[in-house]
Amino acid sequence: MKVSKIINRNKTIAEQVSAMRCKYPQFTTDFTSHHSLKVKGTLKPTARSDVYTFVLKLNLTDAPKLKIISPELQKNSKGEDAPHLYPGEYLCLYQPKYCEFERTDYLCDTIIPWISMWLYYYEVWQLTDTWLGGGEHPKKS
Amino acid sequence: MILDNKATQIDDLLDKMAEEVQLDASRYDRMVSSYESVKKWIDEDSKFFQPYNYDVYPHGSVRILTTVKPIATSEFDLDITIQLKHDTPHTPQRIYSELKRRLEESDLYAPKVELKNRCIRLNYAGDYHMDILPGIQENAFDINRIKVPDRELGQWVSSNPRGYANWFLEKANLVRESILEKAVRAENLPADKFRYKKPLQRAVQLIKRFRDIYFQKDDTYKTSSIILTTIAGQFYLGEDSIFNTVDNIISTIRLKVNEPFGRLKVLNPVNQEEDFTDKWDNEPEYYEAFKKFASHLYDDWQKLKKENGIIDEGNILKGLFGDEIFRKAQTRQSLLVEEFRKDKTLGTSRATGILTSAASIGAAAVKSNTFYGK
Repeated sequence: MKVSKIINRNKTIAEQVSAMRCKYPQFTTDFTSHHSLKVKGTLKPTARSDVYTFVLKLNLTDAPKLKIISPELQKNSKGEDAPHLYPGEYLCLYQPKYCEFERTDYLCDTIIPWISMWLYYYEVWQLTDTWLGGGEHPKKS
Repeated sequence: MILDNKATQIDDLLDKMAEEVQLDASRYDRMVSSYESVKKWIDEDSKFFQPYNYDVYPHGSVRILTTVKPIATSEFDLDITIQLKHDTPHTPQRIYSELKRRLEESDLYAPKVELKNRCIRLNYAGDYHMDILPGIQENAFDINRIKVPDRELGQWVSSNPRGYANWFLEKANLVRESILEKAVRAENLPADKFRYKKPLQRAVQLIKRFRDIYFQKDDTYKTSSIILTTIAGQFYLGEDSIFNTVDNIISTIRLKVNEPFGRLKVLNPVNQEEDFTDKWDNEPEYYEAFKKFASHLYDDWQKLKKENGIIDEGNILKGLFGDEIFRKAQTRQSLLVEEFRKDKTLGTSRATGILTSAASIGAAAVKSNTFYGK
C-alpha cells in the first residue's frame, strides 16, 4: 500500500487514541466504546492566561464535540454570550463545509491547537467585547 | 513570540498602551513645522536677534520622548529654548521683551501670544501650545546652563533644560536591550521601533497617564510631571522591562516615604540646590496626595504580579490607564497573532497549549481554520 493512501484514509478510533496519547501524554485519553473516545485535559492560551479544562468527545458517526468545563465561560461586560459556540456550549472550531477537519485528520494536530486559539480569542473578547479571531456565522433561517 | 512569555506578554501591552497615549505622529509633524517657522521668523529679525549667535532647541517631554496626551484638554506642550551666547551684552529681561516684540510683529503669532512668568506661550488653540523660554548662556564652560528671566521675582534665575534632558536620556540608556527588543529580534523583525523608547521612557509615560486618571476628578494637589519624571530617573536601575521599571520606581518611592524622618525630596539632578518639591513643605497636602497616589499604584502593581489570568489583569490595567487605551492596545496585540495565523507560522505548545511560533521546540503548528457558529 502506498504511503499517501495510509495518510489519506480515515483514522480509526485506535489511531486517534494512540496519536493523542503520544503527542499529549498529559491528557487523559480513553476509549468509550469501539467507535468513540473521550479526551480530558487542560490548556492555557497565553503565558498569563487562566488554565482551562476541556472535554473532547469523538464518535465516528458524528463531528467531534468540545466543551470547556472549567472555569465556566462568562458573558462579556455587555452581557453577551461568547460567540462561536453551538447550542450546549460546544466550541465551533471550524467550518464543516471547508473540510478543515475531516475523518482523515488527527484530532491532536487540528482540534487541540484550535482550542488554544479559541480560548485566546475568547479571553480577548472578554477584555475588548470584540471577537478578533474572524470566522463565519450560520445564516439565520 | 510575545505571548509565550509572561514578561514579554505584559510588557508588549504596556508598551502599546504608552504608544496610545503619546503624541501622535501627525500632531508631532505639525508641531515641528510650526517650530521651524517660528525659528525662521526669529532668524529674520534684523532689529535684534539676527546679529547674535543663538541656538533654538526643544526641551521637556518632547525632547526626552515621554509625552502623554492630556485627558481633559487635548493640548500638548512643546517647550522651546532660545539660548543666546554667553557674552551677549543684554539682560534676560531685554531678551524677553525683544522676543515678545518680534512675535507680536507677526500677524500669525500676535493673536497667539500669552505672556507667562518665564516664557512666552504661543497658543495653537485645540492642538498644542509652544512655550518659548529665552535665555543667555550663564558661563563659558557649560553650554547647557542658562539664565532666564523670572518676571515675578523681577530677576533672572538659573535653568538647565538641556542638561536635564541629557541626564534623563543617559538614565534611560542604562539598559542596552529591553526584553521587547530581544523578543522582536528573536523573531527576525526589525527592532527599530523600540530603540528610542526605552523601558524608563515607557514607565514615565504610564506613571504620568495614571496620574492624569487618578487626579481627574480633583486636580488641586496633582503631582507635576517634572517631579514624577525626576523620581523615575533617579530610582531607575537599568531594568530591562517596563513592568519591572515601574515596579522598582514605585517600590522605592514607598520605601522613601515611609522613612521615619523627613520627607521625600526631589532635587533637580542638574542643579542640586533646586528642590522640585519645596512646595511640599508649605502645602503638605501636595505630599499627602502624592503618597496616596503612589500607594494606589503600588497596590495595583503588586496585584499584577499574582496569577490572575488575563481577564482580571486586564481589568486592573483598565482601571489604571483607562478603558479605551487598554482595548486599543489589546486589539493591536491580537492583530499580531492574526498575522502569524495568516502566515501559517502560528503554533501552540504541546506541553501547555500556549500560542507560540510554529518553529519553536515542542510546538504543534496551527492548521488553517474558520471559527463557525453563532
